[in-house]
Amino acid sequence: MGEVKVKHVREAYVKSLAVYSVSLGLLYLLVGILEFGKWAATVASGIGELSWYIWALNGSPLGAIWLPSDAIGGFAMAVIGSVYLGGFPIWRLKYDSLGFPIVGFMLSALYGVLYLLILISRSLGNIIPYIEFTSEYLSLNFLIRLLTGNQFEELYAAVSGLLIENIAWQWTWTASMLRPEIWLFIVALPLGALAWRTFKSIQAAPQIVKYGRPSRSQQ
Amino acid sequence: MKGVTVKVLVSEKETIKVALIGNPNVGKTLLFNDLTGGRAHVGNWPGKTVEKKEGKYTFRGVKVELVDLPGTYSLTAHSVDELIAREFIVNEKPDVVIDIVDASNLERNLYLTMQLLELGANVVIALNKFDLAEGLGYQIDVKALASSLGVRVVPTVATTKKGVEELKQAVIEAARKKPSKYEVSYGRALDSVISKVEEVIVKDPTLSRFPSRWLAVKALEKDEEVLKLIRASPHANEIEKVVAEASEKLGDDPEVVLAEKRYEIIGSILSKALEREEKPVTFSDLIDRVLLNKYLGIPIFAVILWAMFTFTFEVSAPLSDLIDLAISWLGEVVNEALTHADTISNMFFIATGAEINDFLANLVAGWLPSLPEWSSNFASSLIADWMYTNLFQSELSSLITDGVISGVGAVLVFIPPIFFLFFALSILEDSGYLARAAFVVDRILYKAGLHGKSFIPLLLGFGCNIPGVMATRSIDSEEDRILTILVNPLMSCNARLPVYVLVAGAVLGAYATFGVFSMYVLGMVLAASMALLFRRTIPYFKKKPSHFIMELPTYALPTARNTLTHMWERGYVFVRKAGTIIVAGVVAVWYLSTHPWGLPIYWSHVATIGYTLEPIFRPLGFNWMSIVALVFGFVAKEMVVGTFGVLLGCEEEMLGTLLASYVFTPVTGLAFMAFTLIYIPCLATIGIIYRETASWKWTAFTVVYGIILAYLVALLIVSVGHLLGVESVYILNSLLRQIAAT
Repeated sequence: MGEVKVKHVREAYVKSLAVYSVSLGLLYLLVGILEFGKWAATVASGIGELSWYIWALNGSPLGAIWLPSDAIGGFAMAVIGSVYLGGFPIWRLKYDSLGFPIVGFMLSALYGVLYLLILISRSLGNIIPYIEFTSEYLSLNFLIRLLTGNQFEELYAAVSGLLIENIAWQWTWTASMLRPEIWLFIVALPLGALAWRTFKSIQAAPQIVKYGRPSRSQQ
Repeated sequence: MKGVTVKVLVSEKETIKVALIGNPNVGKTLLFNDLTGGRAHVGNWPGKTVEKKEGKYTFRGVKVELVDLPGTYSLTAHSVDELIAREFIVNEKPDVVIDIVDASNLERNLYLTMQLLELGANVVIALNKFDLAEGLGYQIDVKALASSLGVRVVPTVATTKKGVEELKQAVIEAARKKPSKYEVSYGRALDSVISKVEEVIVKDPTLSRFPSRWLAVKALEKDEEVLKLIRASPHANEIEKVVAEASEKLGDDPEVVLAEKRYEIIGSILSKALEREEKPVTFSDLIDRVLLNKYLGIPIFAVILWAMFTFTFEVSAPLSDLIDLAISWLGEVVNEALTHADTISNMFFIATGAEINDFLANLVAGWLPSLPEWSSNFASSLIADWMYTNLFQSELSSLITDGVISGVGAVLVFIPPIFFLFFALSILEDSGYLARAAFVVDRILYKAGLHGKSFIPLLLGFGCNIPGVMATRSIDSEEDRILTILVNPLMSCNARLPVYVLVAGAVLGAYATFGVFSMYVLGMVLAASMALLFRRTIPYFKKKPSHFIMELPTYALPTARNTLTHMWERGYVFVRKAGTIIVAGVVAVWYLSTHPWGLPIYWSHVATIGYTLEPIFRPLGFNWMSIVALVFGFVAKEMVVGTFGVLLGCEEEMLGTLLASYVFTPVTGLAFMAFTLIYIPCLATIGIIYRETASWKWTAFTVVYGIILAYLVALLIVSVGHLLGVESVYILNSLLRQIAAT
């Protein structure tokens, strides 16, 4: 594509875009390495060797940061970070590198939205035990017993079942809210807006070209 | 676009035949749905595995039969799709051919238009994606374009149905009039050469069903199908002599010369009809610089794919659980209904029970009229009691609940992840990214003897082999397509995961995770290895993978309508096909495991099968239970787990412990997992393989090589395990534990 010079785009915006992109890239890279490292330490602890990995993550201040132990998730974060880092040349007003923060933001959005959907799905999954319990009282056996006698006992059991039975609402799904993919996506939102605005500014000065295709003899 | 009002005289009802053609990714499917209201009959072209779609609509009293021809860039004889399109236009002679042209890529798309006009087709151009072209800064003079080509041109936007009514109008008008003869002039020198060939061709009346000039051009291009026709002609020698002289006169490869001329003509047409704004940088260029980057392209693809699989299985999980719950509840309700059939009939159908009794009594009395009344009543009561007790309460109940409902349930549980997967794939495809992904991985796949387009079907196989096999339709070359189908079952589908988790958890201890992950890696390694082996040893695949040439479509924001339509079209095929095969299979399995009726499972037909096959599997260390589980796994891989549960007669929590105690050691467990990965694909997959290859030979080959490869790999694992002494150590430890316990 070559260097694109566009005079009417504000340089301050463009340089701040470059700084933002590189900073976000480093953050993603760090999170990715830590997630992968935590998974590696977990596996290593299973083997029973190299337990100092665990110390490095849990004993040090870094261990206090909640991060999932996720090999592939860590890899994904590292890749997104690398894409953001590709936006560095924008600092020198090389607009052909604008694609890096744009694609980086798209990937951030992809994972951010994905983990929000997983959050919703896990919360819905907690309703399943209640439905399962209720379905026992939608059986024919229960209906027949109700109609043939002992209905008050059965009704009492059904109503109080939710109190007596140990189907406690599980809150473990809320841990999904802490996924770094979600909060990093929120941090990336202004960058997405800035990148898109910069792109639109660059496109603001088109030239009219008539279509023509030289023949082989004319080349 | 302004609306057009034209008076059309419709004196009588009529039916016209219209073909729909265009380059891939121009919006043909969407326009087809817009015209027909989404109602289509889907089948296959005769003798081919290419899908044929037909639909109908009525416009101002005129019935239109619409046939969707395969997407193609030209009408040569290089691929099955092109041949199908060409043969349909020549043989079926549709009244109108709607050529869908991408307005944002006129030069490329008009090449097909030129060939249609040469073929003498009655063309109406649907200038689709008109909004996209305007957004890209293209200014198209539609009238100038129509005038230059001598055909009707209608701007359309298929996503919003703009221009569809005008298109229908134009089709009716075109059908009323004869197509104007459009002669492509290739310049004086070329035209004289073509005329000489044409003069000889017209001497043969058997060739008259084709436009003579078109035949002459194709003969010069050395079109294989046209040459076959010429060789069969009584004037073959004369025609071939003139063609040879003409080719010599042209100097260069005639096909290339003629193609160049066509593009020159297109260029001169567009110089009158097209202007555009040149932007300093386009969105597509910026994005492609990242997505097609030499270093980042593949990692980005891996990241997107991981997101897709996570979306497919994690987000759909509660829906699958709900369906599973509903199926279990339905099974219990039906079981109870059959168990309490007499109670229910007493409570609600008292008269019905008595009526059955009376009916039987009359029947008996009719056969044996001399019997006293009390005896026929007694006999009929016995019969009724026997039916309720022995049929309705046990065997029928078991068939319905354990057979049919469980079988249907096994299919229905798959529906959420399958539809979610297709939804995600549709978004990737409609956005234009999937084409880039295939381009990025082509380098790696070529080394493994596979085509670049093989990657998507292989990756789909990680979810389920059925859509993986179906996705091979995107591969143009038949050899590459069949090779991809043959290795697709080696991609570890989701259904195998419960088997890995169960067995690995039972016998591999701390290494369970590694064990499961190793199966996925093994599948990929085997797929690449077998593709290379088949490429080098089977003559049908001997030639190198065809070159991967593909036009990258422009990026577009997927619409909900498009995405859901694609999702439904693909997902429904899975539900229909897999459901029929699996339901039938499960009923058969139920029968074998429950008969002879009333005896313990060890005396059932499946146990007999297991004991019969045990000697073959003894070198692998599999006992009869493992073999029976593998046999049932043929219907659906998840049945392996369920089978162990039935055979061991325990709840799922105890299954792992019992497997470790009575069935597997770490080595034989790992071998069993590998065997499950590699051996025959499930029944539904085999059905789809047959459907896609249209060949019992390839289907049987997939089954046979799968079994042989599975046996060899499992044997290798067991042999290595024995050599390393793993088995001995495990047995020794087990013995020591038992001694300590006593």
